[in-house]
This record gives sequence, structure tokens and C-alpha cells, in this order.
Amino acid sequence: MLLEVKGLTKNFAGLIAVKSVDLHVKKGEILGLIGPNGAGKTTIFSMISGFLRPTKGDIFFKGQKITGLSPPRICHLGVTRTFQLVKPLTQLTVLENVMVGVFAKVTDTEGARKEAAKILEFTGQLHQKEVKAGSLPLGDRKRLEISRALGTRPDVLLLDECMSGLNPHEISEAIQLIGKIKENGVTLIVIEHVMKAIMSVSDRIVVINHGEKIMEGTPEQVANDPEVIKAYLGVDYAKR
Amino acid sequence: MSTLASLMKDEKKVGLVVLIIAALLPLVIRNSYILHLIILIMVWTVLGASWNLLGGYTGQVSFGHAAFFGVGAYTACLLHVKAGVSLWLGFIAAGVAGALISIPIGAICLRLRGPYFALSVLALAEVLRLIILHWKSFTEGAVGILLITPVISSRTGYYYLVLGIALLTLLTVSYILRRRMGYFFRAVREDEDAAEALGIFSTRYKLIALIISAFFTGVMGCFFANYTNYIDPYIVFSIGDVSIAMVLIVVLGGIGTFWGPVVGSVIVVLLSEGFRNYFAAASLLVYGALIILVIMFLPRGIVGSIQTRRSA
Repeated sequence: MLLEVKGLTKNFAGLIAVKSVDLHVKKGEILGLIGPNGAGKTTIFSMISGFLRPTKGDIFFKGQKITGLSPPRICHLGVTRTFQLVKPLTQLTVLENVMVGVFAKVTDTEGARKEAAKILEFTGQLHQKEVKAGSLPLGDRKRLEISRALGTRPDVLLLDECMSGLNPHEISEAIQLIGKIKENGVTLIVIEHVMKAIMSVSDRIVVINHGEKIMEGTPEQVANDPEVIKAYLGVDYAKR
Repeated sequence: MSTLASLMKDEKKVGLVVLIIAALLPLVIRNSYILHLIILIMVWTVLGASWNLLGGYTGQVSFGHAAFFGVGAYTACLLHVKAGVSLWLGFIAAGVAGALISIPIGAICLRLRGPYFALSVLALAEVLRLIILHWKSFTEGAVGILLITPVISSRTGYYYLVLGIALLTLLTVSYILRRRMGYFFRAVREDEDAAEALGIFSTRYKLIALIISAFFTGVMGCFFANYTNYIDPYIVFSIGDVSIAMVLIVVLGGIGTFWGPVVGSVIVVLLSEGFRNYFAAASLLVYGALIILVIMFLPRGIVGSIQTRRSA
């Protein structure tokens, strides 16, 4: 097991955002994480990546306990995330943004520049390398989040809604990109609301509702589960 | 404007030309007042560049750099007067002292986001000023310290000394900016969460920027003490004349730009001298009005506005 989460719980001053969630990802797998807004998906990401300390429960990466470590420490171990609300380094160019990620593993500037250019070619963003990140449109900012995170050479990449707000063409490009990333041996956990996308990229899907795991299975199993339909569409639809 | 913009394109060439002109200047200029003005410009260039590394590139604004300036000045002078340590060694001691005093305050306050660091440094400068003011048996208090035999006696000598320090400071800054560390500084400024997710220990890099910044500020404190022969707590720990003046020079010249502190120093030194002659007591008023105008119409400072226009 590459990444394992056991009994993960987060309490915000009495509000239980995440309640005793168990997750695991095998190497090379894509795990989809779905659930209605406010279900606690991003909170789970924030705990895995070190931005939030769990109230209870533990996170193991390659068998090592990483619960409560700082985000940079966890990134150096091989787990990094992107942000749903993108955080481009606005005054830096696209290439420089990716270089910052690459610097996690490469120390010299020229080496970092070359590797960053390779990554941009891989993600199809090389033509924008001299553009300031702050002047990119949303679709390209979402892609830059992924390019930059790939720069850190992660074993596990946590993608937080990298397709929301994209047009259908951009969504199909993003689906292709996720497939390419998987082929390169990176394990992914993907949070997504675009159902068509999550169903097509995921090997396995976990459904979260009100902070609890309500279902886990293949995309087909999940799509036909009455509990899931109830959570998404309401009780009426589940009865039919 | 366009010629200036194209000239600024190749920073190395500009730097070399400026350096050659600067090195030859004392041979041409025999007027010691003009030489004095150029020395002041270089003093402020060093202070501005130091502040800019932390405030402009790393995004950690400080309202109290006088703390490091004053500690540098007093360390060198006290070592010399009380222990007979050479004032040349004092330059290094001053830098180290400035850097050392910055560590505890940075290690504590740079963990926090928001205005806490900016204000804590301001408080640090005031606390240090009060300590030096009242610890009369050791520091001479408000009487100050007179350096009877500063390191150099000629103005030309000081000119070359400050030129050397300015060169060292600018080269250090430019080297750092081209290295991984410089990218990390800017990443932390742009977005701390993004930086941390990308493996950057943000507090550590903020602290490194602070230490380097405080070092050069401390060195300049020692230069100032030698150049003026005299220091007292009101002068070297001044909020307005040191701490805020450093911020203004960088903001005017262009925050987070390499040449901003240089351009800012030229303008501030020349204008404040000019205003003092023409407007006498009203000079501060005119000066203040000018700063408001620049911030309103050139919010990125002079160099920043030129660069924005060029890339647009």
C-alpha cells in the first residue's frame, strides 16, 4: 500500500468535518474522491498534505507515519497537492512557477530550467513559458497547478478539482493529461465534481458524504449505488 | 523612456558601465560636496537593497531596520572604544551583530502571517534605542560616541569604501536572485501555501532573507559611524530617518526590482538635499507630497513601472 489513511477525523470547534475515514491507494492507481459540496473532501486532502492536523487518525506513506508533518516535509517525501482555488505565483512566469517546484529535487538553476521546460512540454504548456502566471486564463492556471506539482517529482499527486470551471474541450484535455501522468508511474487521488471525467479516469472511487465514507467501489458500482444517488440527487431519485 | 527601457534590458552591461563611471568619478569631481552626495546615494543604495531583499523579494515588510543599523553602528564603536578592536574588523562585527539580533525576532515572528513581523521589528528598534539610551555606564547614553580616529580620513577614501560595500551588496543580491534561494524567496512572497505545497520551508527562507538583509544593514551602520565620526541612539535607531527612509527609497524606486533601490536612492538623496535648500523648513512637506504622488501614479515605483510598460 503506497498511501493509507486510518480513522481520519477532523473537528472544527465542534463541527465534525471528517469522521473516521479509511482510505488506501495502491501504486499506479487513480483513486477518485467524490461527494457533495462540503462533504469534507478538501479537508481530507489538507490533512494528507500536512496543511491541517487531524483531530484523530493516522496517515501512512510507504509504511511510514506522516501524520502531522509539515507540508514541505511531506512534499519532499513524495506527496504533494494542487489547490482547488488556484494559487499561481502571479508575478513569476509559467516556466519560473514550474522551476520552483523542480527546485524541490534539483539544486542548480540551469538544471531546473531544463527540467521545467520538459514538464511544460509534457503538460502542453511550453508555448506559454514566458507568460506571467497572473495573466493566464483559468483553464491554463488549473493546468499550471498540475505542471508545478509534477515538478516536485511526486509519487502521489492529490488533484483538487482541477477540472471545475473548464469548458468541455479543456476537460477532455485534462482527462488525457491525467492518463499520461498515470502512465508515468505517478499515483493519483482526484477530487472532482465533473462526473463524466471522474468516472472515466478513476480505477476506484470513494464517496464521501457529511464527512463519512458511504461507499467505495469501481465507477460502475458507485454509479448504480442507491446511497450515492440519494446523496447526490435526493431521496426521491433513489427510490425509482 | 524607451531608450531607458532598452538600456535596462541588459543588467550586466548597465552595471558594468555604472561601475566604471563610479570608479573614475573622484578623479573628475573635485567638489567634495558632490562627492558627499554620491556617498550618501551609495549608503542608501546598500540600505535599500538590503531592505528590498526581505521586503521586496520575500514579501516580509519591516518597519524597523534601524534596529540592525543601530546595533551594527554601536557594536563597531563600542568594540573600538571599550576594547580597542580595529574599526576595520568592526565592519564584520557590525554585520554579524545585525544578523545575530535578527535571528530571535525572525524565528519567532516570521512564523506568523500578517503585520506581526513588521511591527515587532519596529518595537525591537525602539527597545534597543531605549536600552542604549539608558545603559549610560556602558553606552554613554544620549551623549553618544565620538570616533576620534575613524578608519579613513579622506572623503575619496570613503567614496571607494562605500563603493566596494555597495558592489558587494548588489552582487550578493543578484547572485541570490539567480539561485534556487532567490526563486524560493519570491515563491514565499507570492503565495505561502503554494510554496509549502511545493516543498519550500517558508519560515526558514524568510529567516535567511532577514539574516542577509540585517547583515548588510549592520555593515552600513558601521560605515555611517565612521563617516560621520559620531553616533547617538536617536540618530542610528531613528524610525523616520532610518527605518522608514529605507522603505520609502525602495517603494519610490520599485519594490521587488533589482535597480529600484539604486534609482530610489538617487532621487531621494538629490531631492531631499534640493528641497532643504529651496524650501527650508517646509521641505518635509514637499517631500511628503511628492511621495504621495508617486504612490498614486506609479504604485510599482519607478523601475517597476518602466518594466511593466516594457512587458505590456
